[in-house]
Amino acid sequence: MLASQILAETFARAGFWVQSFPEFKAERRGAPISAFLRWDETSRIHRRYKVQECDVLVVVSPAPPSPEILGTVRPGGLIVLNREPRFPHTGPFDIARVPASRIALENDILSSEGRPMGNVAVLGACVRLLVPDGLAFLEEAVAARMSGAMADANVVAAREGYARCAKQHAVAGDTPVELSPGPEHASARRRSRPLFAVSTTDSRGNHTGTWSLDRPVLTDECTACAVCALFCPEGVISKNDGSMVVDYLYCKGCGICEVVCPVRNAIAMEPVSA
Amino acid sequence: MSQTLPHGRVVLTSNDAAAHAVMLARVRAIGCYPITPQTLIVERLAELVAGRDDIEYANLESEHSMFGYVIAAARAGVRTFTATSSQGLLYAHEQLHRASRERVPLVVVDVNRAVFAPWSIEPDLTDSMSQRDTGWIQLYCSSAQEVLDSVLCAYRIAETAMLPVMVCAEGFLLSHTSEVLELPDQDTVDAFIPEFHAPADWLLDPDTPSTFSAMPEPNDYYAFQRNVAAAMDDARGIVEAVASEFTSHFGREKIAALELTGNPDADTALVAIGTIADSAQELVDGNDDLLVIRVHTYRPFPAAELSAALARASYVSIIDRAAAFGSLGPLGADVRSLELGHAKAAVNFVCGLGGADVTPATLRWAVKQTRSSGVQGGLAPIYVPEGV
Amino acid sequence: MPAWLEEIVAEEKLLLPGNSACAGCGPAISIRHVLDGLVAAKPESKIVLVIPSSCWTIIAGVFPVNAFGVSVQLTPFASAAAEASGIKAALRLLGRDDTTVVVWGGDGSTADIGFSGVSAAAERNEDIVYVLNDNEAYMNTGNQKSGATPEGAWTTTTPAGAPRAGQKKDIARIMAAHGIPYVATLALGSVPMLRDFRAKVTRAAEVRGFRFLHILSGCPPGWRYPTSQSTEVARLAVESRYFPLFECDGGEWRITFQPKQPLPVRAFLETQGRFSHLSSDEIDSIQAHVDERWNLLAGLARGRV
Repeated sequence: MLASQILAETFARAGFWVQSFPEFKAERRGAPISAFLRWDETSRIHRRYKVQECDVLVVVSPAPPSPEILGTVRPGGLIVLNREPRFPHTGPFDIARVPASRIALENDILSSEGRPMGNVAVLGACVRLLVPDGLAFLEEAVAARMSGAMADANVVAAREGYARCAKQHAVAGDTPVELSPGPEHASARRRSRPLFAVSTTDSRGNHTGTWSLDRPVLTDECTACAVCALFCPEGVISKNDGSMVVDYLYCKGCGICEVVCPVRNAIAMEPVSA
Repeated sequence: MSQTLPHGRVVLTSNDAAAHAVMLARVRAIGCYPITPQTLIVERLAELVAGRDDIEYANLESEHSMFGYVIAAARAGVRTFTATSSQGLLYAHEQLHRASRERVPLVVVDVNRAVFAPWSIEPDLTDSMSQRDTGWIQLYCSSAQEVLDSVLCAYRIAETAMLPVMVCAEGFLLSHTSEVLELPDQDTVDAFIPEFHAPADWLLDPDTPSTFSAMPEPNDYYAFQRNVAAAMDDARGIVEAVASEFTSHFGREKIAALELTGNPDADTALVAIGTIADSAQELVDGNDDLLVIRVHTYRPFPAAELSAALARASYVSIIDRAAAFGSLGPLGADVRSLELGHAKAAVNFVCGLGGADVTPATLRWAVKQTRSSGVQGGLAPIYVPEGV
Repeated sequence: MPAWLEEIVAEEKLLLPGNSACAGCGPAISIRHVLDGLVAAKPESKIVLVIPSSCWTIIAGVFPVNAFGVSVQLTPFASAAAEASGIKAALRLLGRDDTTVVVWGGDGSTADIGFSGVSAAAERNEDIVYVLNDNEAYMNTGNQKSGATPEGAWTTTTPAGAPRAGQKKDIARIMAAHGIPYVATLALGSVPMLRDFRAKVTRAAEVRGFRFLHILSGCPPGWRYPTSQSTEVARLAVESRYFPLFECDGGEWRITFQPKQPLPVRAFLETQGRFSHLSSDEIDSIQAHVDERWNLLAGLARGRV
């Protein structure tokens, strides 16, 4: 949301008309959220409705985008990913990558919960791809929205993102991405609704494991004392045949298990690889 | 209760009539919070319920909690009742929107009282009429008999439509006025009102894990609102069918939407609601050129019936006992929204706020103004001058 | 591993995976041990959960998803206690008096907007379990000050330069003053604290009448600490006596968890960004209030530990 506002301000400083808005969904902090940006070279934007399809998809989260989100990109569009390794897929769009989380770590840009905040580094990449001669405007927008050491670090992150972004070219072995129609497409959402707002569908269809940036990996040191299972907010650590098992389908990667574990080095938090 | 008169008749106030109807309807959970002029209903119920372990009677600390209590009890599968007035209804406003959208078949008596400020305990209809868009079926009464009959019908209507019903009766003019009425016996009522069985896909059942009223996506939210609108439209037919069944079952006429008095072909019509419409019947005596229309079911609004009833009237006076500042009165706005092709004038009057007396003279004045206004009706209501 | 812990690990979990609580949500751990603990104590009883508006209206699931293995009635902000009373009354009439009706309300709904309803349900001694899920501010709307926000805490409506006047409302003691059968404070920061927590949930399951459980649970985004620290923050809250664990059972006060070596409150405060602006003087003042309240509780308990 902040990223969208800063990018809007960057476009505005470069002389464009802009409109930027978040989409508040029901998920709490940690779940992916979306924000949208419209820009126009010539006139004020009058569109007051949601964005169903986009020309540019910017994925700030290091987690790979879902087929539903990829399905919102128009053919010929652009996808900007916060990602260091190649994205081993192709589709009817260009793909650019920027190691934004790494840039954030290098510059000590962390959330209050300790997560690297790669949003401004991603914006550096966006500006390079979308706003001619826009880096100075981005730096101004960052300085206007932030203060002190945070502003200084993010200005560096913006420059780094600008410098370290690259479009990737398809190579042999890339597989086509899976595309699904966007979740808000009215035509795709004509399902039968009950008369009353009574919810009976088990939440296990919601795979919150996609939220996690890090996941706990149990090592050989684990004594299966099960203390981690007692304090797991998701209740997804269980004891099976005398050993602990984490259900990564739902693990949100909070890291409480590692903190409460009484055994040294029994749980290691490791980045979720794509 | 007064001693029984010949022909099974009794003398009761509307408040007492409401309490008796609630007991006859075999209500299981009652929420209580005092407010004048409703208090006598919950006091009478407290006496009638005392010592019964098959009825729960709860003293809540506010009307907001009281509505929450009956909504939740209904949700868990029992028939409920509560009553309030004025500030109490307004304090529970949030729960009113919620009850209809959650499709809770509540029956509530609102004893109409003017709203603060300044203080007044006297009657007017601003409290309930200002709640007209909350999705409740609203029945406005003009006698103690109608209060009793409407409460009985209300349970049938609510539990068929799965919408809440508000039975409205003006404070003091009805609530504290003793009248002769027929009180049915329990067996006759039992044969009319079956036991409450909530739909299985709506009921809160401890054995079936479900979450009630969780946030939907916008399109789903929209669809649920459309459901409420459709249920309200369907309620017109339900009100009609229940009234007709009541009439044949109890051998006593039950008005459904409108009560017409006077000449249906008259050139002049007067549309009113509640006790004012009852008093207006006096104007018909010796006047062959007047049709008095009493609106009993105000929501869903009986637009088709009213259009038909007004089809031959050239002059229409619409009397509101409620204020809607900056616009027409509630009834005035609704009637003026109809196709009144024949009418030369349809004029909205506001009178009787805070218990200011409304007499036939007041209404004759309004009719005369309408006939002499020579305009289609004006953009604002005419506030009848004090003392007319 | 002790048998009681093995049993907990093997319990069926009534907050289901796939719920949309934030990563590291402290209350998610707490609600799990409340619901699962009530079932463990009374396996034959069903639970109905009543949730006033809060993060938990969302965590319960986006329609048509239900993230609980129990039935849940969502209510307006101020009426959860009354609605739990209504559900309990209806179930009693329908021969389902064995059902445990549980309110899970935040500090905003309990200490502020719904307080009169909570107090009235307590005064009527309704047969319900009322759980105050205290994270010390309106967190669903992004951390605004509530009646349970502690002195010195940053919130978006009490920014660092404009601190709240007065002290956090002492809800547990206020509720105990209603003379209800059971009041307890709970937090989950360690295995011994879990034992204390589950013992209180078990006691709440056994007692009839109005039972009030006041749980302090940390909110990573609101309190500004890493998602991995929810249990640590709770442990430090208790070991610093910032949040004493006690109960008032049938009028008898007892401190149930005595920190062997009480930590200075600074140890708790410095784990969270919401206190990072505090000066030494301000921390000293908080310490003085913590000591004062501990002494008061110790007096009520008259040495019962």
